[in-house]
Amino acid sequence: MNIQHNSVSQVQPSDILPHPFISIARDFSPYTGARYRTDGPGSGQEFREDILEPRFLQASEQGQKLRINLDGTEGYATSFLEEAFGGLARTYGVQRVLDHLEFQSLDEPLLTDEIEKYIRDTAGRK
Amino acid sequence: MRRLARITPVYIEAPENFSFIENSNQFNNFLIQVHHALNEHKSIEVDHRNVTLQTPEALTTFLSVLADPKHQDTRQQGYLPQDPNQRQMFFDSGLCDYLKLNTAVKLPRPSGNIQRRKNFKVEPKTAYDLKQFAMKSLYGQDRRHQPLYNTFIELMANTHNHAGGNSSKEKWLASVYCQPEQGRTCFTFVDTGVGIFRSVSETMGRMKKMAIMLGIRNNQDFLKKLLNGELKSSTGMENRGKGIPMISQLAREGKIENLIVITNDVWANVSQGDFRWLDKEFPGTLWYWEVSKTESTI
Repeated sequence: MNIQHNSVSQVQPSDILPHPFISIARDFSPYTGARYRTDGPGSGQEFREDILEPRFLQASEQGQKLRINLDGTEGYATSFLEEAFGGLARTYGVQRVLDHLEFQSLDEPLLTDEIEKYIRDTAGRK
Repeated sequence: MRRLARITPVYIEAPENFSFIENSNQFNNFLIQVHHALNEHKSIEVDHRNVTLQTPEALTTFLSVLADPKHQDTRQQGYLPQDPNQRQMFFDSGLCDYLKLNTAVKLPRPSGNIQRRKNFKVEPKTAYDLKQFAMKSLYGQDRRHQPLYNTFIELMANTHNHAGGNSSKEKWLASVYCQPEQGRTCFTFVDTGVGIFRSVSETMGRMKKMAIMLGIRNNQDFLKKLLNGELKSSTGMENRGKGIPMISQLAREGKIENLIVITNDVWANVSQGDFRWLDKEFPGTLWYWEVSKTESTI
């Protein structure tokens, strides 16, 4: 078997650090809400500002991908997803967000396409 | 309150077919009479004795009118349906919390088939509780049902953001009515705000212009475009206004069934693509849908 080893100088930060990860159900709430904090608890804005954005910035600065696990919640309103991920893209740009976020869902695999669409749809908008 | 006691109540007979879905115009006329009497005379006496059929969305809508804070200082009396089956459903509906009965009766035990919640904000935990209640009735235990949960959240958000037009935040009232023997659960979500089209005229100048550009001639056309996601939200922002089209899509995919919307002068069975006019305006928005027992999980 031909095994290749990276030399120390070739190792990237993402190879050493544990893969940054957010489970929305575990780290935020299994009962997600609507768009803004003013709408009520569990909003997309609350998730973005309190959980997603700091972890995204950290991952982005370290050249890593932040993995978002979407499973385990009761569901997602369109406004929650758009405000959380589209809102992030409105601030940091579509490409940077796509480069540093990765989505996982076994329950609803199509959700990841929907979220990527919300992110791409923000292009050119503030 | 002492002054109210002297006022002769306005007598209103409830329609025999107490259903907003099946007997829309007659039921709507009844609601208009109740609204008018409460606003002008502050005292009503509603006679349900001849009611032979009641449906959950009608009971919930009537309850939302009686429970409206605008009618807090009014006197509401009534007679129960004579039919024992209708009487049980009437008790379960919560109407007796507002309607003082004119005859002394022993209240039956609640059947446990109805759950109600009201608020004016988006309440995710409430959406979960209502979903859980429905699932336990259908399956004997809680199950995930994202379409159901998502529908509640979208409707709560919609009411919170739009139902009051330019005025204060409007309350919503949601009910779940379980029919375990039929393997079906009925959901009603109602606000007695200004209705979708009046909300548009009060707050959505840009959307109205777009409606004209899209060749929308009337409220039925408008509702169809709204359900199909062909209109931007009232905010005029591209990223908004996806909630109602999502609910409509869930109905098209059969994840929620028999979706009916009644707002202002339009009655629509979205699941069947059947759109009709109401004779008079209903000042609010009613959403009704059903979920049936199925072997697969959603």
